[in-house]
Amino acid sequence: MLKKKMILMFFAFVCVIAIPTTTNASTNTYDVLKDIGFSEYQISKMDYIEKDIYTRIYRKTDGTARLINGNSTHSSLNELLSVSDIDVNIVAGNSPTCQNGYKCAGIYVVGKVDTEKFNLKQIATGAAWSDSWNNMSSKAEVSYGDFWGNTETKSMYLIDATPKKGLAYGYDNLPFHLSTAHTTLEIDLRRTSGDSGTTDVVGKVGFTKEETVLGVSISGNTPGISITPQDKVFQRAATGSFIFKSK
Amino acid sequence: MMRKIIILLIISTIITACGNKTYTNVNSMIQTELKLNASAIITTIEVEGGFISFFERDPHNDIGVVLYSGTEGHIKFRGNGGFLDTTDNWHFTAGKIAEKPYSIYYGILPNSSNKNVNLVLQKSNLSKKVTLVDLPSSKTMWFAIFDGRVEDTNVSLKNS
Repeated sequence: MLKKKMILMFFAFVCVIAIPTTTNASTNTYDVLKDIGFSEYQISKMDYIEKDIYTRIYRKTDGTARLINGNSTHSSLNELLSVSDIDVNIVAGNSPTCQNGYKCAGIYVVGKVDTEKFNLKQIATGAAWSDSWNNMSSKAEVSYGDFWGNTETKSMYLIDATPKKGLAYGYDNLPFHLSTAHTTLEIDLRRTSGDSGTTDVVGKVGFTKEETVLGVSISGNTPGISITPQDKVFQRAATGSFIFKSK
Repeated sequence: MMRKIIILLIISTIITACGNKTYTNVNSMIQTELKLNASAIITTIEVEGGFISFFERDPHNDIGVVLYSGTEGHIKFRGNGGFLDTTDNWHFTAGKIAEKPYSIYYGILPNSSNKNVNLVLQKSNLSKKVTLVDLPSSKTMWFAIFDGRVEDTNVSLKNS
């Protein structure tokens, strides 16, 4: 009997500890997402992986990360397979590694693919930008929930890169049971000149339902990015811009 | 029972054979798979399991890469990269032939360079002598192919 009481007391203790922590975390996350620029509707649609991705970006940019593509994403008209089950957002903020004498920007392309069927085979993400910014570093990750609900995060491989214009990453080994996956592309841009202007950015996320070889075409003067083969890659783009000023 | 197994084996062989289209030459493969015209095949390199060809795209005059396997007259498409605009310093593209990945760096040689040039990948701390190819436009293209994934966007050329 005493043993039973002790077990119950232990569980009550765990609950008392756990509940306030969870509540605090969600309040902070909500504030972060609002500060980035998401609407209440957008936040309500996000899963825990998305919330975690944006929170990490916000912290990495010292709270300067802002959504730059507005509330909607745009499909390119010339693509054969443009679909509504891809969500793409572009976030821009301060770059944490910027040195004195340079102008820097951190660009993040965050994608979510939700096919509602277990048919995700490959996933790709990329970005192209104007104004010839130098790409100082970049990386891309794909995240998804495993069978137990834990987040798995894998590094993506570089498919294509053009200096001062854009780059793209891909991932081929998604587990067979997936219908939802998230991508995070992180790029640190840098320029030396003291000029000012507005830089256009295109973010792209695509996926395939059958195994194929992913390729990418990038253009920079008018930023554009296309994942090939176009008749097998379902893809969606978001466009945005950020202002840079001379110091 | 035996007959059923034989029929299934024949069907699976036919499906496998039809899965990858065979081409007689690189130009027709580029035309069908990439839906574009190659004005010239610049150079072809034999690698383990296949070939990597650089080609000039018509009418853009930029340079693309195509990967394929097979033997002369019976080649199979394995992938393609993006395009090097002649105003770009360099281009990176990755591809796979028979599950073996290749990392391909290529660009237009600056006029100031001599003919002994090394590609320096600063982040990876790697250096490799590039191969030079004269283009019909009188410019010179350089390229370096790495086995496996060598991903670096801090790229420069150094006279050796």
